[in-house]
Amino acid sequence: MLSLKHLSKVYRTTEVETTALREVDLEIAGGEFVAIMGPSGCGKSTLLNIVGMLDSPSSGEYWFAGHEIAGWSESQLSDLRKNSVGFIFQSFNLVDELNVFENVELALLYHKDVSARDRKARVRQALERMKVAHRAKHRPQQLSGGQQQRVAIARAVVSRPKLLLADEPTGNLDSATGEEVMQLLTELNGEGATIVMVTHSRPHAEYAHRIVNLLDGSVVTEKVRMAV
Amino acid sequence: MLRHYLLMAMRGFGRHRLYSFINVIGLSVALACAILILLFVRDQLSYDDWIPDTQNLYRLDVTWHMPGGQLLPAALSPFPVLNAMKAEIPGVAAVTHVVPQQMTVTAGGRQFPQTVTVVDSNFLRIFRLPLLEGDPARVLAQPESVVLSASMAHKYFGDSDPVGKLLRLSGAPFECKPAERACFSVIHTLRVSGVLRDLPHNTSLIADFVIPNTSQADEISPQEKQTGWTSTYGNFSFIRLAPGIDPATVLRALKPILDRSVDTGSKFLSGSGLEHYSLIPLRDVHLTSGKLGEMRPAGSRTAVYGFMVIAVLIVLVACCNFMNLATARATLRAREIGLRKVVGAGRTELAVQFLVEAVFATLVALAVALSLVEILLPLYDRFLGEPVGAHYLRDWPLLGGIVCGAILVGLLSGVYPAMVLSGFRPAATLKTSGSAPRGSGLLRSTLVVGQFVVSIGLGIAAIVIFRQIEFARTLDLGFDRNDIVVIKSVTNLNPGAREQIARMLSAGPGVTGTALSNAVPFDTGWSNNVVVHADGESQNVSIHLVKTSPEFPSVYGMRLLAGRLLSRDRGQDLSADWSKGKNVLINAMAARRFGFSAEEAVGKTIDLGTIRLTVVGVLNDALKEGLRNPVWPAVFLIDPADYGFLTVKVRGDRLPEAVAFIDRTWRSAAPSVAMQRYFMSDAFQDLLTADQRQGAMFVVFVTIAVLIACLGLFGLVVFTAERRTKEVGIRKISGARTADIVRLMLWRISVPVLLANLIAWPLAYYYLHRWLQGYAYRISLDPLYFVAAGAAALLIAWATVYANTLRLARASPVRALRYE
Repeated sequence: MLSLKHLSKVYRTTEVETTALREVDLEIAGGEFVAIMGPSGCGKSTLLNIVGMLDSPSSGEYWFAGHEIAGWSESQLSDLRKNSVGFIFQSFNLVDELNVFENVELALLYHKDVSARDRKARVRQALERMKVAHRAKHRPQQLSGGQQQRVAIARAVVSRPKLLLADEPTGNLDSATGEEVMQLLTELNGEGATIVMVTHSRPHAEYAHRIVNLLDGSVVTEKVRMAV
Repeated sequence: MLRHYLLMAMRGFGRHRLYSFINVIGLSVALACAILILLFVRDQLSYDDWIPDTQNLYRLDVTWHMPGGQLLPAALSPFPVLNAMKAEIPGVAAVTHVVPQQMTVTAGGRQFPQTVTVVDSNFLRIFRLPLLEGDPARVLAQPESVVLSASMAHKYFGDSDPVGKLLRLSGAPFECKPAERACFSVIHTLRVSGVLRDLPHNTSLIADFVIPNTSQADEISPQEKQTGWTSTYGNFSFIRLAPGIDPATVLRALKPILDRSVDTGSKFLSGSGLEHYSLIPLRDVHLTSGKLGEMRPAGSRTAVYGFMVIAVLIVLVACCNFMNLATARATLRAREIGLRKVVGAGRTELAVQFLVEAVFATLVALAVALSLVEILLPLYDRFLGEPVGAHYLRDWPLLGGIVCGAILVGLLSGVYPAMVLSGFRPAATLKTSGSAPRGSGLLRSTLVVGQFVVSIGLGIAAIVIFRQIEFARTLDLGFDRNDIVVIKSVTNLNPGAREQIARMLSAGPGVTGTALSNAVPFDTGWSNNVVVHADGESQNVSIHLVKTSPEFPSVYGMRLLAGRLLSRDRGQDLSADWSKGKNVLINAMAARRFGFSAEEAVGKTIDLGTIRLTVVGVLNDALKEGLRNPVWPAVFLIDPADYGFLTVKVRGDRLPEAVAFIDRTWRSAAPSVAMQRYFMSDAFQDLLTADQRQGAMFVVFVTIAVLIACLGLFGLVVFTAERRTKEVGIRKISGARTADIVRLMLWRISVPVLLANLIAWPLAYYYLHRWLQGYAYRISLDPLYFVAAGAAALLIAWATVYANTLRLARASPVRALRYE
């Protein structure tokens, strides 16, 4: 599915140079569920942003679905991203002006090949799947945290991406709701989605097939969980 | 997709009320101002454009190049010029003379002083004015025929059909000899041959009574029409050129005709040297101002352009607000933008979304603006004294233009925020607290400086304009304009009757004196200019020849600087036989031009052609044309044959009594002549009205521009306060007191204002200096005006942000830091 080779990311200002990622090598196969862990500032989010094509590496190679995309332009990345990657955030990132239905619809709005009728059907389907269809007309502020994250997940999956990226998806949720979200992700993974998740939570990381530990921008250990 | 953008625009609108309010109110008020100005400008530019087929029609204007270098531009021209041009210059397709004359018009028991327009019989074929009754080719064919406007027809004949009815007209031919008493009061009977629809207000023509110049009632004699190459007698000349003919070619061809025909009285001065002609396209006539003898008060091209500039500036100030607020609020939208990018939105799609939002806001503002305009229009019309309003639904081009203009404003306001916002990098913005786009802070500061440059510049202009108006109002004009009644219609009396009425009135209750003259202050329709030279001086000087009865200086309160006044008791003062020499008064300006002091001038002689004038006294300078024109050298002499005005000085406390007496006396002494009188103070006020009105308009629009800028500043401070919260918290923890914080914040807002002063001052100085050059008597540009406007801007800026700054500064640092 994707492969990072000797990938580094350096942030430079006029005075300081900060290395966020150092010579990272990482391979993720289709259908895998990978958790990334590590202390604050170790480069987890940077890694996720590069994998999600929101940021570009300073050096190294990034192979995605058979293409080396490290040097692609913003518009090329934008096209690839909208067809292949879904994002889930710790802070949900729902648009306050839009209701639940419209927030999910947003992910299909920029897909010109999806007709309006098709779009609506897929949004309804995604909302039902996430058990928030009855809240379709509500605004994000009217929902609980768990419901908001379900809507965010519905939005991430509605465009049927091959890769789901989750940045601490349970970070803003209580433990029961967090468990529910993890169950959902596991189900999605079971249906074939590749998932990369950044988390601070050891129990939630245990849901993944593999845990990658980062420290100071480098991969220090990889722990593979045996299939149960 | 467009639906989605509109949905976002509408929801965002409702959710961010303060933000939307500031934007929409700013934009609507700016657009309302711009539309009101547009209506005024459109009206000013529409003069005479409703008359069909006038694209090749010109007015021929003469500018007298007087020896001594003075120029005297007139809206008029001598009568014979047109006919010579028609006969000799190819390309002159048609010509027509138009001479408005003051007459008494009577029908049955109705008698009023009226302006009668005396024209060539082809007038209505060249000016295709709308006739309600009659055939334009024939209504003026008979010499004693008259065409009335509908309202005049109603005034004289009520509801009955006026065509075929008789009107009696009496004026005073220019050529009446003082001894021929009957000449002054001949009554001519004319038959109504047609009725004109009343002319709309946007015309430079007067057409209440139109008669052919073949009529006996015409005050200009046939001989004068043939030979009067050096007088205009109030004649307007209109020329239709054949299509494609260049006016400059025609004017070149006129020169040899002038050299041949004009007798300048000097072999050193050619006809084309004395008279310079220009052709003014009919549609430009209204805005060609500053000329002697306009038929109707001219508009001001400077004012029209000036207000257009103000409209653009006000809209730009509102656009700046929009851009400022949109980029300032960008941090609040950063998350949404990042998210849209994550789900695949490209930069173009986002830019389009923000442009749609900007245009949406502008269209909402336009709707509010149009409502405001509708509410304000009656007031505005009354203020301008003209109906400039429009019926939008009937005037599609106007409405279309306004809507397109508003969309353009929306795009202009939206384009920068669209570029900035769509350029956000999603990885950065999806963190909970988005970061501000780099560079937009500098742009915001630039825009704020720009707004204040406009506000301060316009503020200085407002101060200067008002100081100049006040200066004009209170300036010592060198004569007394209060408690003076001027009677115009004495032209239509014979010289004996004029003197008699003057004598009768001077004995009346509340009357302190009367004077007859051929000119009075503020009447710019008439000027008698001749060339003289003083003995011993080779230099010719062009002077106003003012013919007055001896009482004129005392009635107008003019001061005698040297010598004595004229008197009825001295033969040489009074003498009607000019060839034996005549005693005259001159003004101080004339004395200076001749090269004398006032005392030296007394006893000197001046040559007027072969006539020898002896100076017996010198009067102070009187600004009889107001402030725009400098004082001309003038010579005052007694000449009872030529008086056209009777001035009556009354006692202010007995005004009603005196005026009643004047009316009564006139009716009994001259029953066949309708009296036309006015107060000198009104004439002076008329002179100032246009300036005062435009000054007031200017101040209103400037105030609005400043308020819009302040609104924007307020919004900016509110929206950046959130980002400032952390900074303030840290400063307070480090020991800053509330006062320190407030001082710091006020200083930050002061920097752009101070910078704006540096830019605005020279700009304002440059334009105002040029504007003041249009006044012969003007204020100087006091640096205080500039400092005052700058200080006012600074105070207003402080007042705008103070409350917010104080709240920010007083907030607990703990709360401020938790905000992060």
